[in-house]
Amino acid sequence: MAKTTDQARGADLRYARKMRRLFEKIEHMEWQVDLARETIGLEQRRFDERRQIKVANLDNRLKRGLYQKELRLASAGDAAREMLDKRMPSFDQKQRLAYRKTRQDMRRQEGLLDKTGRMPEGKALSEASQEKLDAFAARQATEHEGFKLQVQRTAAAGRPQPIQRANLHKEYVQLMDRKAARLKALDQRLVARDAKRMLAFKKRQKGITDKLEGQIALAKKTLLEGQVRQVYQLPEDVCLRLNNLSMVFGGLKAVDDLSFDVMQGEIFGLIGPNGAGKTTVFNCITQFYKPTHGNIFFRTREGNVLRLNHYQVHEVITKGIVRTFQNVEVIGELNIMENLLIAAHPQFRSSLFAQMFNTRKVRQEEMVLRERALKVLDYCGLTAIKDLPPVGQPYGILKRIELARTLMAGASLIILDEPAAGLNDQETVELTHLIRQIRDEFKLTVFMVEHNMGLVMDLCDHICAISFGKKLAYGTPNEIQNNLLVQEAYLGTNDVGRAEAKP
Amino acid sequence: MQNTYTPFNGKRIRTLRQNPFFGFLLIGALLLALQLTAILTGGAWPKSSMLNGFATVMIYAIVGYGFTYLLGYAGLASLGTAGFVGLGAYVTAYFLKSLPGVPYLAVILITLLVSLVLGLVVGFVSLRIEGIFLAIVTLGLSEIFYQIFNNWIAFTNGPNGASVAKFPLFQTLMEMKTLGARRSFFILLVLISVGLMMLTHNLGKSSTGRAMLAMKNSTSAAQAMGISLLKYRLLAFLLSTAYAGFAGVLFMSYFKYSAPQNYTILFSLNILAAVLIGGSRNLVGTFLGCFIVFGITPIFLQDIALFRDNPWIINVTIGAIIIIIVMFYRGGLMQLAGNFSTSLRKMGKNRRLYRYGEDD
Amino acid sequence: MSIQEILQTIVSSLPMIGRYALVTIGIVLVFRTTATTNFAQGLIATFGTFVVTWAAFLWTALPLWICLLMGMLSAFLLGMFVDVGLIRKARHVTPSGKQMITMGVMMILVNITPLIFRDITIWNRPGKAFSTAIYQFRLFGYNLNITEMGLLCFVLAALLLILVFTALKFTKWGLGVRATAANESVAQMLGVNTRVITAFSWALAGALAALSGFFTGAGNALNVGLMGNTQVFGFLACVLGGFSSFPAPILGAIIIPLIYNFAGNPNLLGPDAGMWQNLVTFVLVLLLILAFPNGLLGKKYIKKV
Repeated sequence: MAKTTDQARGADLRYARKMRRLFEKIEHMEWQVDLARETIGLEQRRFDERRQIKVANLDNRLKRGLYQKELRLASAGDAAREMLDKRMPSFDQKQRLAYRKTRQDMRRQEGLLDKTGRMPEGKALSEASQEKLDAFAARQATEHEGFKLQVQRTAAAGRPQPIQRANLHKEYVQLMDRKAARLKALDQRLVARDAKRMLAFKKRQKGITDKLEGQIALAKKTLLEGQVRQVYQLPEDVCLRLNNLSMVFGGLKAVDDLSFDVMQGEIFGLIGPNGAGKTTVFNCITQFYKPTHGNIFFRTREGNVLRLNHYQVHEVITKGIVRTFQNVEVIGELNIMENLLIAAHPQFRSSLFAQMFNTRKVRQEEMVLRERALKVLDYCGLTAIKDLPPVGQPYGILKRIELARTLMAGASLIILDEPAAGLNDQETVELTHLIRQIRDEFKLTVFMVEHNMGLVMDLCDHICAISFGKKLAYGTPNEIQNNLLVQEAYLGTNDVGRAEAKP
Repeated sequence: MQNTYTPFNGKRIRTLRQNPFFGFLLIGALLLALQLTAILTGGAWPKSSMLNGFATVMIYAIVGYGFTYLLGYAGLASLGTAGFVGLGAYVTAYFLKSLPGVPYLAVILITLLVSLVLGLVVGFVSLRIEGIFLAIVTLGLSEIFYQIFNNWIAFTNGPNGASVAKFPLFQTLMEMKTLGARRSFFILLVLISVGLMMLTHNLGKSSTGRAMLAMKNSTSAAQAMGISLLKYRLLAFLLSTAYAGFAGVLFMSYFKYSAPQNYTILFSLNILAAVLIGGSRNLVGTFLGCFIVFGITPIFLQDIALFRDNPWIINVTIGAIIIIIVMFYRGGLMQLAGNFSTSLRKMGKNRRLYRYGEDD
Repeated sequence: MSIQEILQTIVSSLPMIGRYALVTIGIVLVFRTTATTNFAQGLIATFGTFVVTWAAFLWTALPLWICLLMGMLSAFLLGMFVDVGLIRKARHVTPSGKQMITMGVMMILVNITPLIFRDITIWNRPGKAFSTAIYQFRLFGYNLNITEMGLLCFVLAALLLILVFTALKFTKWGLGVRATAANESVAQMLGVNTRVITAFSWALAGALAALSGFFTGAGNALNVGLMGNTQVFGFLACVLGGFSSFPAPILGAIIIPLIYNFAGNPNLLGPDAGMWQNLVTFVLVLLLILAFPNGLLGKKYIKKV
């Protein structure tokens, strides 16, 4: 994701801007290098697939010519079996239809059918008709046998004489050899051609990557010499820090002087009664609202410390923070795969004109990112429905799509807004495992707001409890459970153990 | 047996019908065929009025393709397109009449530039005004354009319309081939039209199209995913005004005459209707919609006295079609076609059930 | 411009204010109860005006006000029909979709109305012309005048507006309208008969607009484009005033005619003022709307994420 320095307010704006542009250039070049590398594997696979299709097509075409010969050469029994396999299904189908038609006509005559043509439960044909029908079925069975015998007889009759057979066999063997040879020749030719293409491709990609890496190294050296100043400081292990955050709407103080730290790599929970301002805190962090007072500091994956207040809503994801929504906001007009691609939107860097003309770079980008999306879909178990629109999917699936979207963005901090809302116990347990698995595997920090105390106490390493916008307590789950203030405001004072949240 | 083959070639790399450009190429081929028959029969059929009708459809369809970005992808209701088409037409006329030395390509670029600048203005306006109020504001803008076209006699020759005598670009070609300027321009129009369809389709399927759809469905989710609302709203407007201006240029170049009466709200509404009828994201549908709204009268009905003397019949029908489509077939004609084939299949299934009974 | 001219311009704007107020109250009623901007409003009004003329020509013995009532009734019914027949069936459609439905209605009406009322174009009954009397009066020491029809229009409009607003504030119907405007489904659940309320709102809007059309067309040539300008300005007035409350658009209905008449004054804009009147008004109004995107009296709703 982005590596940018924070703009020092006031002094040295131009310098900071130059540094930022340099960073972005480096980032762009690194993206091109990544793209170049990833496409190699995918191109190889594409070539292989196309080659296999071509070979299979040729094989099929050649088989057609050989089929008749092989049929003549086969033994009577084999030939009969083969011809039956080919012709029996259609014969059976015709018989079956005839049977059904007769049955239907009989039923209609006896007035057993409703207007769509179905016979309701419990009704049945009269005995006389049933007998006639059985007789018809018996006749059909004999016809069936007759057909089989006829085919077998034709097969037996079509056997060639020994001399002809020997000739035929020789021809057949010749043709088979020729077929094998042609297939092999095609395969070899395609392999050679693909290898040459791959080589050219790899060379070109290597040329690109080498040139770019040279430029990157140069730029990085310039950067280091430029003495980049770290404007903001954060301890190494802190991922996100809220400093005296306040959000005032008119006369209402939704968030009042809130401060806490979120450690690197932990699962952090924010709890509190409804209306405490939890979602407002979210929105302030992700810059949907601009905080009226206070600072939010964030350490990106590369180690830069940013003051989030400077950034706009749509820039936040490029810094490495991605969020889910309380009312699941999945895009209805795109299918699920495309919903994931939306999350990777900042990673699509081709220009407008390139997209209009569908240049090779655009196609490569799409290929690479679709691969990544497929992997994420697989991880979340959504591969089966990836081409369906999200409309009409059950709520649990929609939540999983949102989660998959956050994985797609490649963030270092994931903010979950009531992830367990609307899920039953079983699904909540699965969700717990999934969140922990994601945190461990992708090395993320997870920040969540949740009402389900079981989930929170089980999953979170640290919890902050707020009420009416003010911080009540901060600590480990045990400490929070035993905190009197929190119990009074939210948890309820009956049980000290697994307390249920007061609505 | 070793050599059992599958009758239908296992897997093709991609069939022609699946190719997304199939529809566009088909339309282009049909139009070229029409022009070719006209050339071969020496103008007997199709008559030139019919070909002019098709040219009108093609030109307005270009406006429609730009409009799909606004309506289908970004979900913005704008009724100001008429103004931009007129702008394109009048700027072209001005250059071709008053400054004949300017090369044609430069004229196109200048027109596009002017349209883009004004489109930028409208785009910024759209950021301040939400949803359906935008339709009202752009209505006002369209009225402003109309007043200017009607009253700024020095530039636009007022209600009498502007005309262009010389036919750009093909004057010399006309002397070389015997085709005639208008016929060559028609062929050029077909190529431009198909080309623009392809470009529009590519952009719609790319990340820009997806971003606009995200913005349309949920602005918060779009912003959280890194899509700048400012950028994509402006882009939608810029694209649509560029297309509209370009269409204006083509209109003036082909028909060599244009009056302000063309560019009223009714025109914007007709374009909106055409795009809606076809399905707001579907380009072939937009072409068909334009055909229905703009094409049926000049192409087919000029010969039928009933429709010529009673133009209200077609207009009322179009109004009724809009209402029906919005109420029942939000996806337009293409959805209707899809539903139609599904219902045909179902009808077949029901008939089989009736005839043969259930299969157990 | 002298004070005399300024006051005179203001007074001359009064009839236009009256007409626009009638139209805007209809637009905002329809919008707040069914979330639709009715683009067919002008055509319904024109239809009603045609009915008035037709009745006046057909039954020359009838006093004019009865013909007027007939026209208003026809617009009333037409408005109700559009709501019950179309808008209500299109429940599931987005507001822009409903807008497009009204556009379709507009296209149909624009073509059908001249068909039904084929021969009626002049709006002056033989032998019973509209009064062209001019009243003179003194205000602040200046001599001002106003036409009789204009004064009638303004007074009638003001009375009707006061009636509608009183009804909105104090009657059960008014409460129902405000409830539906706030949240239709909840209002339904609370027992408000939203169907009757929305139908009646559309009908009332149509009738008021027909009255406005009558005054627009009185004494002039009558054609299908009668209310075209009024409709566009009417919508702009609503956006300018703000849609978030019922009285707010009236402010817009006052401002726009004032701008229009001042823009048309030859002393301000030169001898060609008449030609540019429309353009200047549009530009100024749009600039105002841009400056106040939620309307002069409107409120901004922040969506909870």
